[in-house]
Amino acid sequence: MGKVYNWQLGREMAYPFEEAHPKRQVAWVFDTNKCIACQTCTIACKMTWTSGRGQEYMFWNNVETKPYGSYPTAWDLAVLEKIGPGRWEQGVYRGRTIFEAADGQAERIAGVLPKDEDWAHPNLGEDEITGGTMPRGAHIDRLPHPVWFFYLPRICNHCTYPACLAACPRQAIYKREEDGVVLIDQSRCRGYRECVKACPYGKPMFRPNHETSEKCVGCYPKLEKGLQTQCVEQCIGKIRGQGFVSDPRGKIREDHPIDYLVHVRKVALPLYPQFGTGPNVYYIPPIHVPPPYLHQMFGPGVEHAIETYRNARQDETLAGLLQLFGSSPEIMDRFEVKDGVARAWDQQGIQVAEVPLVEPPQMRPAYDEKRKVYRLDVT
Amino acid sequence: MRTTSRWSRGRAPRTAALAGLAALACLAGSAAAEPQGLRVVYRADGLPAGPDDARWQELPQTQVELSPQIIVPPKGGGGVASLSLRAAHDGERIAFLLAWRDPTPNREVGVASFRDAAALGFPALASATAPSPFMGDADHPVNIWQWSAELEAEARGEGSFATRYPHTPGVWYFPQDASVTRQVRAWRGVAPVMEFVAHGYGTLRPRPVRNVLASGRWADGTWKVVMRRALETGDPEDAVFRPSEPQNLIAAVWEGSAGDVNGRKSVTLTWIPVQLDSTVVADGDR
Ligand code: SF4
Ligand code: SF4
Repeated sequence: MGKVYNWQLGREMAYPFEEAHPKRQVAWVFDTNKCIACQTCTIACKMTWTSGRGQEYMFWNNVETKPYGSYPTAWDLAVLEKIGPGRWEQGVYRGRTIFEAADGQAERIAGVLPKDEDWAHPNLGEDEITGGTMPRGAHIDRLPHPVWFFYLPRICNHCTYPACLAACPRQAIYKREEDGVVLIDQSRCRGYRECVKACPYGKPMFRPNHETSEKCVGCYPKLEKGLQTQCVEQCIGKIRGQGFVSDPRGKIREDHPIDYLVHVRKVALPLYPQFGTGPNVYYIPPIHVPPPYLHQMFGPGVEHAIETYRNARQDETLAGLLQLFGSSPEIMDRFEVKDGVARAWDQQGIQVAEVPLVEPPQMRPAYDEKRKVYRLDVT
Repeated sequence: MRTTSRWSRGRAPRTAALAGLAALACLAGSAAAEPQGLRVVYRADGLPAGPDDARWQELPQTQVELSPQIIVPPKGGGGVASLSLRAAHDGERIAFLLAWRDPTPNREVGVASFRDAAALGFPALASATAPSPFMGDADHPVNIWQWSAELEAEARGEGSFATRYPHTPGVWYFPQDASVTRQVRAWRGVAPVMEFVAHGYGTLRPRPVRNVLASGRWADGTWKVVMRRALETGDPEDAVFRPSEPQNLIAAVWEGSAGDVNGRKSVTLTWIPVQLDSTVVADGDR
């Protein structure tokens, strides 16, 4: 076991390999407040990558309802139970990661292998509420909501310290030097399912007719062309942004969309950082959900993130940046919000997006002369 | 003394075959007295065929102890404590019969279901020193033959993929998908055995060759698997077997119902010496 520094835990942790980082690390930010679980991302991914025989059950991208939904079934509860309870002390995680909770004998990583049926219910618990009932006519007038659920869109986290990679006895899994994308080499994979068991997010999936495991490929062919991934580009809720994230021990860029949200404003948080893999999909937590639940899921930064997000209305830069989500297929490398307009540029410095913070109102006459009808909607 | 060291199978004189059987009968006792080695009996009259061929019972049996694999993670196995080996050659080909107790045949590879399997390994280079018994080392490759129950079921047209993961009517696949699957499956082949070369744990590399034939059968709580190959293939990554010369083997068994796969296996911890009978039959034996 080596020792690596995990900034999400605020400490060093055990990992089977020495610390090594790619030139750049691909990262995503998902705004859970805007997700409507339309599953367009899920289908975009499925049509692109997993429409084959033997892949029927695979959703490299899935959207589940929390707290009751999960795909594969109970993926998170199973791992939380396995690693046991932990505490956060001043931003430092005092508890065991999946690497530290492993028995060290039979396994390197405390993992749980989901069964066939665990993959069979991607919409388990969908739209199920918790916290009480909503009788007819009831309405909620405060935050957080006493009765709630929220949608959690999930893809592979292309982790900084991937558990899948560490678990593979054949070194069939690798993290790309150029962008940190984690891939399973299909020609080396022998279908042992060690990665399926080790990944605490349930993201590698076994293809029985090929006898190999497959996982989200980070849409690397698009990435190589400077384009955002399918699940980002196709998202109709415009909840997603994709780019690269810096290691906070080095230089972070205030004008970079992902760095700004993750490191500067700390409004986007890793999912279950206590697992220890250093996931690189960052979530803006849902403001209507009671923070104790969110603490367990996103760590101790939840209150700060929610407060910052709720103040976005008075915060032109943050509001402008969030407007840029879903406004360009290209990866945005630099952004600027000035005079009520948000703009973004790609890595070549070519402008790829321009969005006003407030759309100028458009008024149309109530009567449509051409079609000789009254309009229902005039703005 | 005859000096012919090698007979072709078709021309093996009847008398020699009978002499071989007689020699076998008296040597069987001595092989049993030396349980750590495996004698490969010379059968000029041909090799036993499938796992059910009664002629296997005429050959001496070597029982090898198996232990859990505890060297590299994922560690595990140990569900199968011993493996019975029998072997014969006919001057051209060598055949092994592996038999072990397993109350539950597991012929399926599903998301969380694992299959039974067994493997033999031999030093790949005809070198005097045997490499590490843990699948060799950087300079000493090991040639591995692995039979598995799911490939066996598939070869017999009894694979369970289509029933366990049925094709839902109306679900349409891209036409290219089937050809990708065919490509991926091609190197696994239709034979229930795969051949590999390894340079130590974690380095197993499948080889696109079909030199070994195998067939397995489960009955009455026992798997019996036959693996057969030419004594020499001319391939530098293949083990070489020469009459009268010693060889070595390692073995592993996977118990699917215990979740055995890759490092989770029951293994031999040392090389098992293998001695091939000479094809030379002394005049006095005739
Ligand atoms: S989310 Fe899972 S599959 Fe993806 S890199 Fe992390 S450990 Fe590997
Ligand atoms: S990044 Fe690409 S492969 Fe990964 S979940 Fe999104 S669409 Fe699928």
